[in-house]
Amino acid sequence: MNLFCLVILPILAGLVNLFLKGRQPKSNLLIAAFSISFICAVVIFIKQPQLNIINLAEDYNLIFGVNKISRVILIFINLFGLLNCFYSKNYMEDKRGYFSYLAWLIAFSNLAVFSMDFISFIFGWGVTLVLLYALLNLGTGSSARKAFSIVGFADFSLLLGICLYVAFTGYTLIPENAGIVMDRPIIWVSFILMLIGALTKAGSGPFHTWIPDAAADAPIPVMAILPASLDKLLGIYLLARICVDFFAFNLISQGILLLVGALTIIFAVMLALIQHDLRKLLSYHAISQVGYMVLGFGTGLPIGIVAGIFHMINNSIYKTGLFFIGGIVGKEKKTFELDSLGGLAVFMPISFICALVFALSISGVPLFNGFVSKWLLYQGVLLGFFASSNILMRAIFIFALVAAMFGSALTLASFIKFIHAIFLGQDSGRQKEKVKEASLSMLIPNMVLALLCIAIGFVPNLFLRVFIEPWFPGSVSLIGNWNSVFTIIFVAVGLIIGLFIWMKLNVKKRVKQDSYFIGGETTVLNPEFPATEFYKGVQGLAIVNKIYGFLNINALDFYNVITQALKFLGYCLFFGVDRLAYILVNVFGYLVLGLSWFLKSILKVITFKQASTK
Amino acid sequence: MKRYIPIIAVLLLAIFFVIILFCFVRPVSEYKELISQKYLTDWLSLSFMADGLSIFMGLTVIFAAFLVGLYSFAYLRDNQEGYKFYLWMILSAVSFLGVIFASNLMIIYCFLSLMIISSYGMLNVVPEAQESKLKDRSFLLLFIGMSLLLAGIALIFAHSGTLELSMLKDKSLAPIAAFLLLGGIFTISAQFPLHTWLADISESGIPAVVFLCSIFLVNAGVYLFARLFSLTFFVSLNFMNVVIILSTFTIILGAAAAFVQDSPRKILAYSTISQLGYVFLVLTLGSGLGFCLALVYVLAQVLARTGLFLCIGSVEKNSGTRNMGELGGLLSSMPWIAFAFLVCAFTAIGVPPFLGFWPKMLSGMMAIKHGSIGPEFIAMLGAILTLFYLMKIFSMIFLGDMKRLVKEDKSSALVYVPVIMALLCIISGLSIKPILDFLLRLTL
Repeated sequence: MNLFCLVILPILAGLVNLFLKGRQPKSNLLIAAFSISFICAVVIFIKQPQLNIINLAEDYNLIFGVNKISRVILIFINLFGLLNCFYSKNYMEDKRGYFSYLAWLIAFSNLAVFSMDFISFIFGWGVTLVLLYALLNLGTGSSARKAFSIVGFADFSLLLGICLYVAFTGYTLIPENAGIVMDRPIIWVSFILMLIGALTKAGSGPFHTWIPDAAADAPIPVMAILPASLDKLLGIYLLARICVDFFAFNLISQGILLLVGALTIIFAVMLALIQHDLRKLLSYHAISQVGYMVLGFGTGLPIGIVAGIFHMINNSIYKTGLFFIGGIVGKEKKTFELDSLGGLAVFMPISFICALVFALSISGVPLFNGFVSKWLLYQGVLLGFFASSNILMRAIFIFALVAAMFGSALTLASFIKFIHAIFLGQDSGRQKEKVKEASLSMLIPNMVLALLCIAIGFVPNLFLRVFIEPWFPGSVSLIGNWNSVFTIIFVAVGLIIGLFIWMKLNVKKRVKQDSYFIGGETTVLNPEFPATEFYKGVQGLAIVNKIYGFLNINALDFYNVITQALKFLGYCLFFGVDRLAYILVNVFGYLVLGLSWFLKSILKVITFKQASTK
Repeated sequence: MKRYIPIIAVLLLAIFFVIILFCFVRPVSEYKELISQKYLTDWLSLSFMADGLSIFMGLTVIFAAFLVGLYSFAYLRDNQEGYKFYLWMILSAVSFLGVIFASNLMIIYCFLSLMIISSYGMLNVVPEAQESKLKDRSFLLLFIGMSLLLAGIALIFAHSGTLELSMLKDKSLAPIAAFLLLGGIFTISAQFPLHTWLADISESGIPAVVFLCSIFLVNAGVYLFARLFSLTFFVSLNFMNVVIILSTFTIILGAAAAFVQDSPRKILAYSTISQLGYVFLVLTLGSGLGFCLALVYVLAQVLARTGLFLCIGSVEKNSGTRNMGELGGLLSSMPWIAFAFLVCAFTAIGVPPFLGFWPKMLSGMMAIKHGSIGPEFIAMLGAILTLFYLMKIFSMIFLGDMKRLVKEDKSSALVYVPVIMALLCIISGLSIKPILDFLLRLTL
């Protein structure tokens, strides 16, 4: 019963929402529905419900239930739905059914996660594609079509992969620990097709190109719910099931995952570094972080997979928060350009603190959640390196490790720029009096997410033990002298001392700002240095410049590649076959016409002769 | 009198539908077959038969025709010649019913010819512009197909001495006769290599008419294939393999050709060709669930295609142009039409939760189990192509910058008929289990 509560309740709420007028009643209804479904998810987590079986036809059954990993995903799906609803209460204009789509999105994501057979899984999974299109069409521009095409392509390849898997293994249920050995080419094909489906959903390279485009014109809450959280949860969930349950790993599939992960990390983070648009910057980071998760699965070790899932949860927490912060800033300043923002920390202290927490988390600074999962991940990669005997594999592992470290450093750099450009420095817009802190309903989700970041960072072991480790009993142990209790005490003491100094000495008054003095001459000096300029220097390096040139080539865009290929196929078949058949039919038609003309004239001649002989 | 003809015609269609629904469904689900036979000579008999297949086809197609009739009230309101269309439509519908309920091959052939003739009449009745008048050679192909069919029927008579379907049951068929029949059927259903007529007629007449022609003819072909090769004759494996290859090639050919077209009508015509390929592919899966899935497929493509054609028709009627390049950004001024188009497009693509998803998914699993992996790959490629070209039409008409304002009238049949189709797509997609149960009970 609980399970269907998770689907039917949001669907009904969405339907009722279509008939409500105004933003407040809509969002209130939805908050109520999501609260109940969140509680249901928690109850399901604690008390595993019974399986529900519905016979569809013949031997095709629909089975619903949870296992040790899907129940965790369920909790987070509903949590993000709830927070997003809170946030968009005062953000979204009341147009074209955003709240209904949101409700259905959560409902069908729940369905996909708690279905234990392939048919209902792909059903729920596919509906999220339709809702993705509907949600992205709320924005302006043509990104919705691109997104729908790419994700639709991936969904059909996933469908085909599942069909192949079902036909060749005989499982119509989603198996647990089936471990099919990839010895036949057809199993390989099935693996690759499913992998495309999972990676595209998660937004990993090379199928990521719709995300930055969508970020530039979709509303922020849409970005916060789709690429930042739900898509990650679903895509990485599927990837985990593929890696752990469906197939037995081998060296080649590991190598593929490692390379995809490592390349995604580096390229996406490099592109993030040069963005001037706040939303694009965040979306490139959303892509880059997927690389870490994929990398974790590529190690093929329990610890790596746990790290991947852990990082996925952490990432969706702070990335949702970052998008929320971006939305607050954009709403207040009416712009998302980093160059024209600055100095907002004074006016929005709470947003600033939350943003700082998220930025530190995503950069992997100790004490925040991002650090722990990255730490686990490095551990997994190192273990994988030591475990593998193949030289090529070792090289790939080293490359992956370097990529992950490098990516981490660049992420930190990029978020220093982010924080500096928005909250520190000087306001280049000079509209200080207008800016004020966002409303409470927009701040609460941020505070909840920031608290989650800190809490998971403080007690990572507890979190792991409760949520993720049950899937791999006894597999995870954090290496190193990591005693979070001591650290907490140290940090707390540090904070208290800092606070004490700040209060006693009143630091604020001691900072003096002087006017410029240049040899008595009066010059016009522009004291603004937009943070986006910092990395101009990096771009200038010859080799880096080449890489950027390579990355910006449009032909590499997966959407363009597939469109061109299909167009080529279309022209070949249309002119080569269809028009040929058309010409043949016409030739035949003219032959018939000619024949009839011939017969007619013969007839005429005969009748003429008969007439003349008479 | 002229004023009443449309109403009478649409009422007649409604009566047909109600009669089939209330007088046939229950007996057939109990007794499986209802037969009435009356012999005239040894080869010609006035015998009729109703079973699950014919009832299902009748219900689906007559329902779509009924809605198209309603739609045409609004479309042909100002047209003086409009009543002729309804006369031809009734003739078409009656001959379609004749095809699906007759159980003598000769009678079927006669009704089929009648249907082609009435389609020809229907297309020529309401030319909107002079240059769009139907070219006779488009129909030449159909008559070639009919002669192939007749030759096949003659061979069957020569071989077994009867044309009665009930007496031909489970007999094996000479390969040459089977291929002649297949040639006829593939022409009527617009399958490769005899498919060109459907794209040819798509630019002539009003969309409703084009659609009606294609829905009657194409589904008659599907019915004949199911009747002859799935339910009556025993055919060899090689024959089925040929069907699989041809229909798979049709899928990819239709979809690829649709992808490079510019006019929505042409795209939809090629899309019909491609979708019919799927139906034939699923029909080769054999009896039981596979057969039911083929019927679900027919239902899905009838619903989706009606919706798509009628949406295009509404846009053409309201904007007064057939060049869709002049339009754009109609999402805000025609939200209902846009909604209907999108839902029907999703159904045609095969995305859940709409009806088109179920046959695509389940038949994919079954087909691979039967060993046709290659065709299933191409079928999925076709689905991706479908996604691309239908989204292309949608973006062209409904998204982007609005070049001129086109309004919709919510109370008009131009809007509510496509919306009904869209709602049916959603409802039937969500209630797949009752539909499958019903079909399994009806056909097993």
